Amino acid sequence: MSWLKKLALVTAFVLVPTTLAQPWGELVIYSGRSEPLIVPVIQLFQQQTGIRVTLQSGAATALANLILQEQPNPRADLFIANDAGTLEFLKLKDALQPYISEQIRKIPEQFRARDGSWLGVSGRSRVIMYNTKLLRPEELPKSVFELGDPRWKGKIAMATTRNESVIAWMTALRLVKGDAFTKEYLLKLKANGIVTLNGHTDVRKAVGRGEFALGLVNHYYYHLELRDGSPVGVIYPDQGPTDTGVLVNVAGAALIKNAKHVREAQRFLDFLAAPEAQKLFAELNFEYPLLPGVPTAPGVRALETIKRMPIRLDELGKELEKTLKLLDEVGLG
Amino acid sequence: MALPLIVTLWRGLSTEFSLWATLWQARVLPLLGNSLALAGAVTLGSLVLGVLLAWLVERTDLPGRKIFGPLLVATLVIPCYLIAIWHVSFWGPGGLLERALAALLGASIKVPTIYGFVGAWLILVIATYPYVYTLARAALRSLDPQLEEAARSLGAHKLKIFFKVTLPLLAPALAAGGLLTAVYVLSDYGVVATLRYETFTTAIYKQLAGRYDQAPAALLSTVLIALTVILLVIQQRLWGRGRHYYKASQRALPLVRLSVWGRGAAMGLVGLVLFFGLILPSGVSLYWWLESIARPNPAAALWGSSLADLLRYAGNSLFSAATAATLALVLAWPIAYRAVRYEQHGLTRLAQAGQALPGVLIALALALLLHRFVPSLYFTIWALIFAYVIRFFSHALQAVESGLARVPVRLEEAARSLGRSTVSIWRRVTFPLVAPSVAAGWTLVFLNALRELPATLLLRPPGFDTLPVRLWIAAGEGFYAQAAAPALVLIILSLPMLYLLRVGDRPEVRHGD
Repeated sequence: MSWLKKLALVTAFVLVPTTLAQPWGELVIYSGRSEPLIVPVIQLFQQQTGIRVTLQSGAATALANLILQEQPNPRADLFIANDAGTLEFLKLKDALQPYISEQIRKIPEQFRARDGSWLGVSGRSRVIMYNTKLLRPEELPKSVFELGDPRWKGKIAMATTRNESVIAWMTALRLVKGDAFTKEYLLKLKANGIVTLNGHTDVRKAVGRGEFALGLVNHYYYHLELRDGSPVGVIYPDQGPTDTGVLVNVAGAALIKNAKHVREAQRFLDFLAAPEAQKLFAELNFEYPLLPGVPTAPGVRALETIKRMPIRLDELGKELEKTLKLLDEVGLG
Repeated sequence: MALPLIVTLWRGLSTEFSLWATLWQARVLPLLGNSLALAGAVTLGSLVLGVLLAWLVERTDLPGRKIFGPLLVATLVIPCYLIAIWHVSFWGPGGLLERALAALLGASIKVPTIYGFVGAWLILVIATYPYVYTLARAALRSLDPQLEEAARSLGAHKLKIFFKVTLPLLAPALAAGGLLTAVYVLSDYGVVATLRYETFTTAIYKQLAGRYDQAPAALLSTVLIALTVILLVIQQRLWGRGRHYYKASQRALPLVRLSVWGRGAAMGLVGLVLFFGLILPSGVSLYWWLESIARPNPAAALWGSSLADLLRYAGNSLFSAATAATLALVLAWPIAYRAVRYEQHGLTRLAQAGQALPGVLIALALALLLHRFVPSLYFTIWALIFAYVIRFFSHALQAVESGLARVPVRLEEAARSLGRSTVSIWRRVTFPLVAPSVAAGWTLVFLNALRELPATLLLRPPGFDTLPVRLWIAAGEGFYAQAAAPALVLIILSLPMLYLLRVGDRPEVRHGD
């Protein structure tokens, strides 16, 4: 037996058991959030409660699909998503079970499902970030609808249209401006050579490096890029008295129907609504804490000062499939 | 093995006509343009580069050609999505080159963008020329020197000899290598996704990962399958027509003497290819690895790049790849046996279809199939292993077939006449003789499964990450330092396999897409 074979055998004996012995935790979470943004929260929960958590990160829509397919015998207990639309969509497909507690009632009702099927945990607004070396203040767009102008050809980046924050924003546009307008607007963006990158982290880094002048992102990506020392600024578009306002969406969590670890999952939901976790979302990630009394991180524009799109979050779920159909028609990547 | 193919086609063709009409204009036509343009350009590029390099190494007095010969296929050590990732982190905006220039010159200089068609073309040429190179080298070696000598004696110029005599003799090898390249480009996911060039595979991936309705994905897949099948049919035709010439002389061909300039240019070309394919990617990955050690990122723990995590990913990769390889060979045995001993090739042909199918597509087909019929297997390790088996089954099959073909039937007949059962004959007579081929087939499936990216991304069960998946996710968010460790482990794990396979002789080592 050659040394190579011996080596292979030894490696196999060491590694195969580690593979097979991967334990499922006492709480299984599917998360559509970027991994570094959710891991600290989970670590804090594990410290506080001693409950072992298995985290599966991935594309939110793919995980939502998985949850639907796994019914009525799901592997995951809890779903964390970046967008109320995805959560409400699962509720409409009867894949969630309601949970309301004292702690959860403290989160304002507009940020959670009425029947308790899902819970908004942190807020984010849809903004435009820009590179301050490429654009002077007087050149900045004031509205997202200006971005179809040939002036911005090849200068805009956004996340792929399989990202649920992007999908939610487009649903909101449809609800406020109508299908025909939205389709025409998206076609204009496409004709303007808007580049769709893999995710928002890609977008913020690309704008930070000066690869694109503008990026369509959630507001905290601007703050994250600023913290990394890049020359970036932020625009809260469409804030005029007759304008549409920006979409304020929530990242949230929901208890999956037929979950096996209901009590642990409920504890996690309570934990998300409690001050410690809310502070983490605000401080680590510059999101809006939704629990009244928890301050936003320094430098983050307060939620109350922003003109918001007149949309109820649960509408995003009802309209989700229509938006996806529209996206296929437009053919945006 | 062909079941996934059938399911996808059925699903794609049974979609409503209105969906076809919608997608045709918005998606299919632009994607068709993108995919075909890239496949054509890469094929052309790697044909020229592969033949040129093969000719330099085999037929000229290029200094160091004995070393360069095998070194030029060593680029296969690095999976091609990794080559793409490291090139982007080097040439890309804000990348290592711009940083180095800024540090050295103090001025910020913008490097022309690597993203898009040109970048994808360059990386794919670097990734695929070894296929052409290997086949062209073998063909050049088997040329009969008398043919060229006859041409020279008739007063033909060097160039004329190359184009009128040598090149036509190489044609079958070139056609095979070219088609292999084209099929490869159509099925590549990692390179085009990294370089932001949209093709069918990236579009299908997006549909699968970001939509609830899988009909559009199935529809796009149908078009991609049609393209691939057309290429495969052409390949079969050309292969069948491969002309064979009697090699009258066993003399080696005389070497062409390069002028000083020619020698310089040739060395430059070889150096450039090695720089792009081997030196830069390995240098950059070492740089990022050292950086991750020298300047530990507080976020590193969040990326799961600790040693324990790395071991777990490596374990996952090794386990799934080894199981897939074993399973593939067990399944290949009876089919290959039937094909070789009873001349029944129908099944083999069908089983080979899987090889040309992109991983994204196999993932889609398996998702459709398992979800409908065996939901308990969906998103388990077994679904993943099954995907590997389908994808790389043809390697196992070819290996066993070529091994069996060399075992004389007489030996088995003799054993039978002594009253042995079939299984006993297999165990005592056939298998020991075929073992080397089986081992080679196993290694081949194992290596390819170890590097597999797109199907793994789509089918891996919760909590089950492999090395390619981890490095892909970290690099995708621009955390190159966190991608370096799994990348290096992956390369180190594949080194002994490549050595065992003597990679230069095998065009079927996929470049990990």
